[in-house]
Amino acid sequence: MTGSTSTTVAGTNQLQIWNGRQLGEAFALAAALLDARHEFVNALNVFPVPDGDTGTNMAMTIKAAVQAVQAGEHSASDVGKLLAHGALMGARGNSGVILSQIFRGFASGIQDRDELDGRDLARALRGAQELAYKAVMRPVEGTMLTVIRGAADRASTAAQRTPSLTTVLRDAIDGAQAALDSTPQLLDILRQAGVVDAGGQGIVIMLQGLERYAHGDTAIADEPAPALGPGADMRFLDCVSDLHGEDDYGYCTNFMVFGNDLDFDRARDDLAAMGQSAVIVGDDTMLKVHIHTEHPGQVLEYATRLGSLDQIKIDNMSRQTEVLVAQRAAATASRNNAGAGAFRGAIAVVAVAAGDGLADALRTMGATTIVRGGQTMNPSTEDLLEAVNGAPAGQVILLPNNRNIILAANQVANLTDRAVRVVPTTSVPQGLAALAAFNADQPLDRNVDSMTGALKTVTSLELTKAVRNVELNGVQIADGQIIGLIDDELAAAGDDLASVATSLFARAKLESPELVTAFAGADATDADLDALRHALRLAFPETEVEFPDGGQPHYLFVIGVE
Amino acid sequence: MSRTIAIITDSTSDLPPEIQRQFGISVIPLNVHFGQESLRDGVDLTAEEFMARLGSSDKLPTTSHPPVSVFEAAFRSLAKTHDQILCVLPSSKLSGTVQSARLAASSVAETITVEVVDSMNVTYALGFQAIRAAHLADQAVPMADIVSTLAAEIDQYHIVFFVETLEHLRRGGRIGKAAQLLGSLLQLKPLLRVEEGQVVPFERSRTRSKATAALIDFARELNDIEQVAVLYNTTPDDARELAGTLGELLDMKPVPVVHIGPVISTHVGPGVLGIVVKEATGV
Repeated sequence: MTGSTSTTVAGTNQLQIWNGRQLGEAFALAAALLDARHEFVNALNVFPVPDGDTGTNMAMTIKAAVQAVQAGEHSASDVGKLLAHGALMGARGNSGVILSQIFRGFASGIQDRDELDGRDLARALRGAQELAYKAVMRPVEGTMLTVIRGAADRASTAAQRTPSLTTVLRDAIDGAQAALDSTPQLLDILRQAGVVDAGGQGIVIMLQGLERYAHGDTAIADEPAPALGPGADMRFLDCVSDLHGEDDYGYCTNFMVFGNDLDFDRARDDLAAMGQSAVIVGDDTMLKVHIHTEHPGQVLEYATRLGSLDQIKIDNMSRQTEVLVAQRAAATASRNNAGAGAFRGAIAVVAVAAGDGLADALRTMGATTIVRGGQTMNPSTEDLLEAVNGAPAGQVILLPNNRNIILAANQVANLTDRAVRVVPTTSVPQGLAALAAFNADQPLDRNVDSMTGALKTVTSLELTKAVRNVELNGVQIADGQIIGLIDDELAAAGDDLASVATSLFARAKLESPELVTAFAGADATDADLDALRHALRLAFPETEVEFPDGGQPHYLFVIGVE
Repeated sequence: MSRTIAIITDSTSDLPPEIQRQFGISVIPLNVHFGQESLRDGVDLTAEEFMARLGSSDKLPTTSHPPVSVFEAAFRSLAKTHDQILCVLPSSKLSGTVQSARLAASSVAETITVEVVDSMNVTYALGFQAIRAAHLADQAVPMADIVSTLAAEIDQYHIVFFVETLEHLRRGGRIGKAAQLLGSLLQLKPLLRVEEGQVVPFERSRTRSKATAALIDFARELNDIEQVAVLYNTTPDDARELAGTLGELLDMKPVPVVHIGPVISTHVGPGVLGIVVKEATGV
């Protein structure tokens, strides 16, 4: 969690060399900065769909890295390895996996070093760049890869001039920022959306966090993040509960204060002193407050003296923690019991899905274990690893069912003694098609071949709501509009579900399909169901249609056509 | 016919009358019951009549294997013209026919020697086995050798098929290991096979066209196919098309198209499409 107070001693204590402890602290500060800005990074997501959020994924990955470093005297080399291991286990989403490889490369660059100076840092960044490029099958420029390369290039040049850590770091950040600024020129999709690459932005923030430590900072001030100044919506505060750990306690207290001539600095200091994990932003007319306290009444009492309160939201974190722990225990238990009635054999199938209905559908088609997650919460490598290690077979096939989980799934094979294969499914309908081709009596690699072959027999369509305004491929999309996707590509948008569905079906160019399976999401209403049924009847009068309950969040319908 | 060994099978072999005559195979009918009414499979009603009646009857039929007395009468009748009798009968795990024939065999033991072979198969795989027995008998192969040949070749026959629903197999108690496919939330055209005399799950498919493609793939992946037939009960066009495809693929024409009889149709339900293949001996 973000530190509650700030103690900036800028320029007074510039470290030119880091030992292991200091390296760990530097990344802890970088983690705190990324945590404070994760919503800012999330807002850079190109696609206006509720999808695996880059900022959240990177913040949780680096948090896991930092938590793996125990107190005590370690060499810089050892701390690098601990960070790399923590990041690997905690990696979430593609950006998290690449970040974990950056940590691994960083560690290899300072192998056997007790301490780290500017030259070591340059080597570490070069190692980070090399492994980051290897983490993806086809490296794409205009992404976080470009940004880490920009950092490594400039750091190398600087290190030829000076061993100064602060100088090399400063140049690395300049290089990263320049590379980040170039991402819209390198990737057309970024240019169209008018944003820089989210993962690259995360890298820049991380390096900035290291620099702050080098300048003597020990905590992140409660500063407004660039895109989320005062007046931004409350959403980022609502999301904070997702990040509460198992050891958080007390009440997560959120509210806004409106007033005239507020003394912002004084109010912030007073409020921050009343609890932990304070995030307080605002100006002289309003305050937004997030704080963990055991006495929310006292906090609110103080705030009423400042002005009028609004949007008060108090959550009992101890209770949330209990629920979280119980859910995790239940998830583990259900994993262990899963698959009764499924194909038993020498091979188990672990599949990822959000929503009870999707999970049940996968289970009845033969998945042994379901890992909860998907579009909005990508499971970490460790979550997948745990499911694989708990699977009732020595050979395991992983179905990520989402583009943003494939890399994390690929990592799992290196972390377990089980034989793991990933069939790169990008949707639950693809996962179901793969399962239909699964036969536990056949050898592992033969199954992988036939399951991979089955993916092209199904087209995945999705209907969801845009989460922001955007213009993509010449299509204007407004926040809240219905959008339709074909195999993850935006294909239709509009205000009316039936007409978006109709143009989606037309765009998909499906020739007399035999079967349509439309999983209704948690938010789909009866009217939505009727609208889709109507559109389907118009488009495919001959085709058999099923409407199982999917229960998935955010996506009104996940549709498989075969 | 100078053959000294009589060959008997039952109506679940799905052998058409002309094949029965051609190879000199006696077929004992099983029974289908619509309520109080009992009909002999292939004698009192044909496969086509049965399917029509199944569609219009509100009560679902049940089946029963031939009583011991029917086998006994058949054995005594054949004893007048033959020295020995060989019964090739459906899997004892799916039907009580083998049991019934063995009891009848012991009661006629003083009159004639009867061997009962559990084919571990059903429908046209059983039909192929009965034809095989008839061939060997025509070549004057001793009965003990025919029995051991049939036993050795059991695993060379494969029956793979898909059903529209598992409900009929479940209700008839013939679902076996395929029970694990029950309870799917989604539409499924499960592919099944007969293995070690039982119905077991083979693959899962969600549409008829994919299931049909899986049947073709199954045949394609076998090394050396000697015999093949297509099975169906309500979709003759699909069956003819599949037979055409398999004929081209295996360079075997024509591929027999077999209408599954009333007893098996009672247990698998309508819409079934499948194949029977026999791999070459000594592969």
